[in-house]
Amino acid sequence: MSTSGIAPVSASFPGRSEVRRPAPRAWMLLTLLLAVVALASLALGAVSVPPSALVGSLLKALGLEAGQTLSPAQEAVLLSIRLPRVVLGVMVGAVLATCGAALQALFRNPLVEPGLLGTSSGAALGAVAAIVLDVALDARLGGLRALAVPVSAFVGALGATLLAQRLGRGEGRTETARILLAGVAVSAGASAGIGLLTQLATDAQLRSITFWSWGSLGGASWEVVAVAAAPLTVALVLLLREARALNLLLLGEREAWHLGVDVERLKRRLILAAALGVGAAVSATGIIGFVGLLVPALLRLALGPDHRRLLGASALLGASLLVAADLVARTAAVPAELPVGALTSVLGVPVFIGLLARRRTV
Amino acid sequence: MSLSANGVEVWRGRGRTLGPVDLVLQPGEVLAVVGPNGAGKSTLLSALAGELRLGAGDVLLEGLPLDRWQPRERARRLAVLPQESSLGFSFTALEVALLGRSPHARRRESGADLEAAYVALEATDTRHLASRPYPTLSGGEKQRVQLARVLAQLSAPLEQGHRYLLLDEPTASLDLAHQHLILEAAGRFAREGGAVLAVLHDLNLAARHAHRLALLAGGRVVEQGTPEQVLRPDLIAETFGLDVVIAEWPGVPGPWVLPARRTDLSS
Repeated sequence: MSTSGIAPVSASFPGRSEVRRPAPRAWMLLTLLLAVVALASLALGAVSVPPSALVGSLLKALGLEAGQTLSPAQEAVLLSIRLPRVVLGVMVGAVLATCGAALQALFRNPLVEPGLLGTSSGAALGAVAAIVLDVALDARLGGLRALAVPVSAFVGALGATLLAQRLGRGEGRTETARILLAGVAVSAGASAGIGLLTQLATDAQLRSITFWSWGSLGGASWEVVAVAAAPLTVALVLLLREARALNLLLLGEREAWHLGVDVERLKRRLILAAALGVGAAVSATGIIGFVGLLVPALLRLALGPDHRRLLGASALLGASLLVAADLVARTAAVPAELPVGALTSVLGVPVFIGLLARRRTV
Repeated sequence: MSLSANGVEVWRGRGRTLGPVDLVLQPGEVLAVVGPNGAGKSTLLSALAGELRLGAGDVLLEGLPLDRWQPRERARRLAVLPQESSLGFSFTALEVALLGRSPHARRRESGADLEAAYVALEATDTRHLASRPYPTLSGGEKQRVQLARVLAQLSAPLEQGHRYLLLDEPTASLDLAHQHLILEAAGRFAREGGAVLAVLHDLNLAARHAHRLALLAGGRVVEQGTPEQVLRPDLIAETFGLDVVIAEWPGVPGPWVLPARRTDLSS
């Protein structure tokens, strides 16, 4: 049945090539890019790790005969510093870019981004609150203390996103100006909250608060990866599963409902998943802006808006972008380390301005 | 076998904006809903589409209340073309039509889905736009592609059940030729066993293409029946506040509604 259904179509409709097919080739290229960026990031830095020795050690670990291998010092740097940093960069970059793509579909607007929507600053407010109030909490929480920051970052992200969503909707439709203004308001509120909490903070707390405002992978360790891995992975999987529904959402909420989507539930799932992902990302690395704007915007130009292609590609490119930006951040001005969030913003702001300028209506 | 509104009322705050309305839409017919601005035409369409919380009454699709249907099952029977749809993302016209197939598709569209999308594009004279990005189309072209999307949504063998198509001012942004082309496509859909309800402003277009008219005023159905039964000068004067004559033109299907007074162009 299915084969007999296809044959006459290609015969009677020569424009079959008008359908953009799934993008395994784009995914393969992006996977390759990610592998190259990740290897470069493992190899380059204050302590140089030659790629040949890296490969040799990998082979040795697999029980194969190898020529050149790593020295114990190189191995220590690699395993306990660079590898967790790359792993965290991959996960956070993938989640930020995918959340960006999903939120853009939810708001039906390519200008939406976790940073602009207030999701990130809400998460940062939650994280900072947890740090500052830590004094009161640590004794009772015991082993759960490691989770206090991520959990309150999630709550902050969720609250901010819901608030922005409520404010951004006028008369049943969401408008760019309203969304951006709502995001500005929510972000300003969160910044004010962070400012007030800063006054209560001790010097040590202040140092870790500063870390949230510009974002950095410098805090990466296997402990951080362990705490963040589960929520980041869950958020990513939840979002990747909604590709088809997101496509329908682009038509409009009413249209999606008439095509059989339970829109209210879908919106709830999306906001929860985005808050989970962004909350976990911010609690691990601070605010890293514009990955969620930049990556889907570039990929839409190359692949079109279909989320069945876009979401997976966004995850791959977002991971590559963040790992690459982090590599630049820690090698460009040695021994100083540039804030990686500033680098992604330098790349993202011109794209945002370009998108804004091109959009005359809606 | 029908889509029916039974004693449907819609309230907004303390005011009743619609109803009580009884209306039955049956397979094989094109029903035009006409009436002055603010009569409740779009509200009636939204109520029949299941979008509104009803103050009273119910809407039955094939005898079952709309909210009892599985969303995807419902979507295979009932499709709605809104007055305007804003889609700012660069799907091609073909991809938009294919999105209409999603209640049928499993993970990916099959060859049959693709064929349904192409047939729908042909029916709305947008086949040549298939690979054009939707945001670059003109208002009328967008409207026709959206109609192709809902036609593709309801494209299924008749034995899988009757299908109901609700169109909210489908001709609003179309030129004269395409107004007729679109309503002819709706008529073809009805001849193939579908049911069409269209909100129309143009009484002559309604008379020409609909089997039945429902005249709405003040949230109620004032009259329903064939074009000849509904398009009466007294009813139109009463509901639209305009004096008209009903004319026949030899060789052209009518009736024709023409304003009776001459418009004064001099002042």
